[in-house]
Amino acid sequence: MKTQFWKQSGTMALLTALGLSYLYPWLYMVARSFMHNEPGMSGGGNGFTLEFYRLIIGNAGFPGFLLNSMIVLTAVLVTNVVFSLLVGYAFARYRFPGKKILFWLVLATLMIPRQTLMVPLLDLMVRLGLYDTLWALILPFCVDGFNLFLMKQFIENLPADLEDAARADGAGEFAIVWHVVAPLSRPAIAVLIINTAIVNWNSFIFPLIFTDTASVRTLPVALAYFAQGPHATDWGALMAGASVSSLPLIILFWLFQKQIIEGITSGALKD
Amino acid sequence: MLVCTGARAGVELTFWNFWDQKFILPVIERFERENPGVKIRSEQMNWGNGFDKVVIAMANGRAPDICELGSTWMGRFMAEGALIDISSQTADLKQQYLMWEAVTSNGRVFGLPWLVSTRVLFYNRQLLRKAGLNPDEPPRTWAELLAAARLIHDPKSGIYGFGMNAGEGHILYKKFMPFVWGNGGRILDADGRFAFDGPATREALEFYLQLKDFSYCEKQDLLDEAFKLGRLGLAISGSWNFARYPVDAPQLDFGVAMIPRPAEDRGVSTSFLGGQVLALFKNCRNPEAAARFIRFLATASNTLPITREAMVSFPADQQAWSDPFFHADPRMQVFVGQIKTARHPPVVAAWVEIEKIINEAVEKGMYGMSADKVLSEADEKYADLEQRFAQKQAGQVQVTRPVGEHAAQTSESSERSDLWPLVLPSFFAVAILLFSVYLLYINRNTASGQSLSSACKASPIERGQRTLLFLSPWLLTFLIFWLYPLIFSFILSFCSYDAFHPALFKFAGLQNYLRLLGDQDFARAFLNTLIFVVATTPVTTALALALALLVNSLKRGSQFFRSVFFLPSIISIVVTATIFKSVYAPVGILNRLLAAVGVPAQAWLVDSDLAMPAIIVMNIWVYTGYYMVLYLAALKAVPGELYEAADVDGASDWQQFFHITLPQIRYMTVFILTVNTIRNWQVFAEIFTLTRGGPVGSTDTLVHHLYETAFRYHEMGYASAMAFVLLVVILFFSLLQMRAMQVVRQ
Repeated sequence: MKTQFWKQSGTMALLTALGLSYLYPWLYMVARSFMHNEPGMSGGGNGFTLEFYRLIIGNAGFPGFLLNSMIVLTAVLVTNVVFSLLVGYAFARYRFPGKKILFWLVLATLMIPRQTLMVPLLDLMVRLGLYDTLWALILPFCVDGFNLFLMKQFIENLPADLEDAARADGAGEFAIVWHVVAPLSRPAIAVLIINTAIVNWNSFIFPLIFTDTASVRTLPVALAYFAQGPHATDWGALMAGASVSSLPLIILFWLFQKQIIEGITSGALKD
Repeated sequence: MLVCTGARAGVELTFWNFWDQKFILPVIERFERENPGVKIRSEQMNWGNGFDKVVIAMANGRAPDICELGSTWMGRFMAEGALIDISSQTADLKQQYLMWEAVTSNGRVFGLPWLVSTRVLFYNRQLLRKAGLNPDEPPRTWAELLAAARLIHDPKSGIYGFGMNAGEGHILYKKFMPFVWGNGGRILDADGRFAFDGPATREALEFYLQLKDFSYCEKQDLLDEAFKLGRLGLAISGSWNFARYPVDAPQLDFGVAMIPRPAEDRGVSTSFLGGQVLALFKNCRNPEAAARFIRFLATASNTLPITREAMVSFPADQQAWSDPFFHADPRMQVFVGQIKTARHPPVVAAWVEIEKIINEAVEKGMYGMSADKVLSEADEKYADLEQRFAQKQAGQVQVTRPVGEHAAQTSESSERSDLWPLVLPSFFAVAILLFSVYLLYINRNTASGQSLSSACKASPIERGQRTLLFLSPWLLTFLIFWLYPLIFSFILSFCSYDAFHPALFKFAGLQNYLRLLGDQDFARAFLNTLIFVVATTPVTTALALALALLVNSLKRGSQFFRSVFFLPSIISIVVTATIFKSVYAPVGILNRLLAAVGVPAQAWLVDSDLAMPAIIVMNIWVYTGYYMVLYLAALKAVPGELYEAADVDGASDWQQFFHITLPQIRYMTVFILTVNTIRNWQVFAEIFTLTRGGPVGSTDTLVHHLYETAFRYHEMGYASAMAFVLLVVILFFSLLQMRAMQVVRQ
């Protein structure tokens, strides 16, 4: 019992030390966002001020930027959850010609540097009349390859008995996905939601390229205007902006983190 | 042709610029009041990515009507015929404005100088006095500069003689060229031949390297701050400091002087001249009204508010200089004097590429290469560049000679009307055809999966339709939004194509791929990326597993630690990288921690041996927690009975780990390795924020290199070839890993 105690304490001490190193940049970010910019070499600050929060939140456009980001995120989350379930289910359970090739195409979309795709994508947006609308930030991202990969792997590991039973009871395929597969996949969906949220909420270059007007500007693009001058970064504005924009993600993570752990648990056991 | 369009109703012109709209909008409002019928729509770009946006818009034929451009970009824009000739609309301003050389090509004017800026010598009077020098007589010659730096230099007490830019290769020429120019050297001679490799440059370089021994070598913002804190005796910097120093450090006793000349009896004092110009793109809908607007905007009274607040640059309109603002402080007159003697870099088509050659030469010299080698290498690079330009443009655009007449012709033939509109419809026609064939095929041939076969009574047709229905969201998205760009850039990789002439892509066969084989910069980027991938992927994975094991073994608090370690992956990587700039700063927390254990401070992002490791460490730090959460999930899934049985058998902790835990979570290891590898091969944001590939290319990675090729050097076809090489590399690694995954499955 004694060794057990020491082991626990040792682990705790080690993790606390490591944890501090992980928390440092976070604490730095939040603390710095409340300080005046100071002539310090490392973007140092001093005193206490709300000027940067006032600058950002007090900006006339802020509610609009936030709303745009929220709309895009919600749409992308909903479509990704629904579509990844459907497509992932098809990949996991159905046999059809070309399945392997299609699957590698899914992965290929993750492997090509997107810097290469920006010129043709913008061209496409303009031609489809989506340029400078929120649709341009939603439609191309409504089924992400990473999420498909994740859902396919997860559903493959689920037991098929329940689906067969439901089918025997006369349930349609959509009903099976919705009432049988979706509840079992809750953990994977939680991972998917957090992943998609992180990527989409921080997305910068696509909104920058696909939109022009302030009325469809998203939060990260708007924040970049506050934070970057011609010859220097405005540290206070950057940190305040980052703090503000990471809040929703933290909330999402706290909401879903329990599901993640449980989720893969129930899936992996059935391998 | 440009008749009385100003009066036409409903003219709206877009104007892209970099400034806070509070400076721009009031001017627009006044202009619109005076010019009824003309509307100006202003869009602010941001300094970090604004030019990317211009390049991408241009490649799509959607450049704005009016645009603010950096003066050093003008050579290329003019030579390519991207801009409208406004000679007649600006002829009367010749005497009144500065920096015409930046907007003039073959005697024709393609832009209006708006804002100009230069660099001068800042000196700390107190440090001069302390070193026994007269603070009223700042160094005027190279010898005096060197002597003063030597006398002031006292690194043990944190005082440095001179501030020298390092770790940001892309701006070195601004600091170095004034010495060459002052010494009679040139980048291009009167005939447009490369003359950088001359005795004047060699002398300047040798002097610069001598100066380095008494210098503090860091990035611009850190040099400015060091000066502000009174730790730098001398530094060459810009007017923006002049606005900040008196406010931030009122006790700082500093002066400014002209850049020192080679000697009392030799050479001149000169500096770098650059700035912002206003230009009209070829597709401008109403050049006459647009020209009127830029004239209005660039006047002294409309530009002064920008100067007054940010002090980044001064109006190009010299009338502004009689404003009391420039006479409130005598030091201001030094800037005015230096601007009049300052030089703009050559205005030629290949300036951006030449700039790179010069930056690299200076940087390599600073990092230890001999002056001989540096200059001969620059010469070789220039020869390559000249040859490439000759090939690529088929003689239409020469490297150094700005081509007015040719440019006009080129732009006529590059109207987008010819072949371009056919590409997309035909692509979709083929795609829809393929899609329908696949539909039919899948409809007939679909068999149900194992789980379906027992209970499913549906006919094969029904099953096929169902499969399709389920797949269609992805199939449609892929077909519309991904396949077209993928094929497009695949075709581009076999073409010579640049953003200026989107309609003129010329088939180039394997040329791009062959060029990659001999491209040393690409090879270096490949090697850097390989090092990055090999260093980060296994370490991140192992650390994530270790953390997961530790957190998992906790009886209490595991949820807390899980969150702490996950937090870094939530913030945008750009912000994280910026925070790490401060961690790695000379007096950042890392150096302070090291100092506590007696290790001397390191210049993490400026030392060419340390920059890559610094970025690797940061990347590992950011992503460990993310993969730890995945591992934790896998660990929770290992059946507890296995461990109980092992305990009964008396197996040690290590035995249990190797024989139970590791095999049980192997599938997760392979998954993490796959995803992590795919991501690491594409590392970009960290590099772009922290080092931009420097110092001396030591952190230039594939995607960063590709990005520069596409957006800085406009070679989109070549960049596409890089992308597909990268795709193949990643594909190869993923196939290996998938194999491994299948092995695990069995």
